[in-house]
Amino acid sequence: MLGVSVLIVLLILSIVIAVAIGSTYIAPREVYKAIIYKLTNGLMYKDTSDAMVMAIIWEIRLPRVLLGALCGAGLALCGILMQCVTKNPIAEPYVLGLSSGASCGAVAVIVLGSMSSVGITSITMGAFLGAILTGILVFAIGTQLGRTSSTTRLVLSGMAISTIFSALTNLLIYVSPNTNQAKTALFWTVGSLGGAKWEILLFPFIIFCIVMIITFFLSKSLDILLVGDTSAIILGINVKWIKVLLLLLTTLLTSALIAVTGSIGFIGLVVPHICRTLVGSDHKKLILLSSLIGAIFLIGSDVMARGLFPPLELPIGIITALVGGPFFLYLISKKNYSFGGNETC
Amino acid sequence: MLKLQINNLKFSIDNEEILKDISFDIKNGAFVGIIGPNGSGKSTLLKNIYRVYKPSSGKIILDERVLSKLKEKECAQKIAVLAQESNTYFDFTVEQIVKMGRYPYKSIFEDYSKEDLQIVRQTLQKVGLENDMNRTFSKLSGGEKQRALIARALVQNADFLILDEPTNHLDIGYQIQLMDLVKNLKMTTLAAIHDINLAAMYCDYLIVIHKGKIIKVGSPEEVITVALLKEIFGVNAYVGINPINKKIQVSFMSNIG
Repeated sequence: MLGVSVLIVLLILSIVIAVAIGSTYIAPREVYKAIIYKLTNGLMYKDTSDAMVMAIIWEIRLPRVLLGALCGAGLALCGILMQCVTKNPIAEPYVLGLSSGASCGAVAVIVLGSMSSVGITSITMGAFLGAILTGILVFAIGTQLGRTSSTTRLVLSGMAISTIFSALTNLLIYVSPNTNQAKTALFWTVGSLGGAKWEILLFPFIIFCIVMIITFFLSKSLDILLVGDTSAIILGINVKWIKVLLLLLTTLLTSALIAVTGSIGFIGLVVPHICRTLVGSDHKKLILLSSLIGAIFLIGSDVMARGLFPPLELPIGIITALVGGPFFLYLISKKNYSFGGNETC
Repeated sequence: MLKLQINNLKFSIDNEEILKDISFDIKNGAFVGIIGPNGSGKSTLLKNIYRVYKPSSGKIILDERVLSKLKEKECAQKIAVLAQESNTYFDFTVEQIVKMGRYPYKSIFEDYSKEDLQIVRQTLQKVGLENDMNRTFSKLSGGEKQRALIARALVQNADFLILDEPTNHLDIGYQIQLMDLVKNLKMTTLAAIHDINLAAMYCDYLIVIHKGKIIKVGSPEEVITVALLKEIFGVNAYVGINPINKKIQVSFMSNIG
């Protein structure tokens, strides 16, 4: 509990600092005041800063930082759930091929729709539907509509369908005359928080809360599911039903996130493992801790993506992989790390 | 009183009939063993009872209630199982693993209570693991793992125990230790046992399964004969009585003398 409180304070601090840092530096004090001013509807603190600074804080930087927090928390949560469902330590939110489906959906909307009438919203919608469609296909083929709960088949179906959607995306880009489409496709491959606005935050936020609440109450079952399907059946869990539910929830949340940020790699794999070394396999703690650490990790990565080579903004996926990769290697090489039970002995 | 009744149970996978018309009863308090060669259907039969598989036809009745009509958690309050589990991709402590046995008594909104932890501790004492509560389960020895899983089965507070070949990978010392522990519980037990001598030593009744059918039921003395061993395992054997514990003892003989 103490750890969680400390992390919540850290999260709030990193939000304020991340809003402060940028091409125009704003003192964290100012950021804090501005946010409180807006949140209390002007009851606390007078509107001291000028409208320009206020707009930078409230309209541009804060939505972006919050999107980063939401995305980091959501991907870490989905990573834990996928690792639990597949009982595979290398599973992550994109293991079902949702990111390929999302880029295919987005590119299809741009190429097939007439360029002038296609807005950002419909591209986001296309990405979301592409990801959801991929999830449904993988589920239908991988589990034979819920009849088997073999996860090997599920993961393999994910790989195959992901390959097909990547090929379709490339085909669409190749045959269409406009070069802009390649850029759009790239956006969904490397991920970016650049499209953040208040309006697009709401839907993924609601989905995140729903998934968080449901998995929090399912945490006892998740623990047992990780031990094995047989143990779960013996102890009175409806294994098929809970797997379907978990796949549905991760697909929904991952799709909602990909649609607005593209696919940001590695975070859904690394953060769950970091948290396992801290609190073991207890899912109630894991879920809370991973969401908080995931949020802080992604906020930090975005600050680096914006600040390392100004005014150039790096794709955030480069940072998450460059920071997460070596850290992950360090974890694996540590002798007492045992997500894989006896294997490290 | 009958604990378990199996009536005309059939089970197929991909149109291949693995269990062909199985029927038998188990009395309250009996220790019943199932023996038979690899692939005879022993483990499949047990998995039909503990709901990993769904019977193709037939009825399983537990405490005079049809098993398939019970809710999942209700079943888990009545049947405890000791089975093999292959996954080790987790980092739970012994206490956390054993605590899971209390799951059938919890709603999704409830956490494990102080009483649950009390029961877990008492049970760990019973199986001799009271000093290993905070050790990582996956780092225990094979025998310790099985004892922890017995503790998990015990805190389920069921009165019917199924053993699905739990001693297969254990040294003989651990096998005896495990079977002694189970026998002392005096629960109604149904066990698939690979080792004929072990089965004869612990079971009140034996059920012999061969090619998905029951071919003999009775006390170890009635069931284990030279002719039967030749028929189902295809080996020559000497069957005698151990002069010390007066139990049936089998000694197998090579075919080349």
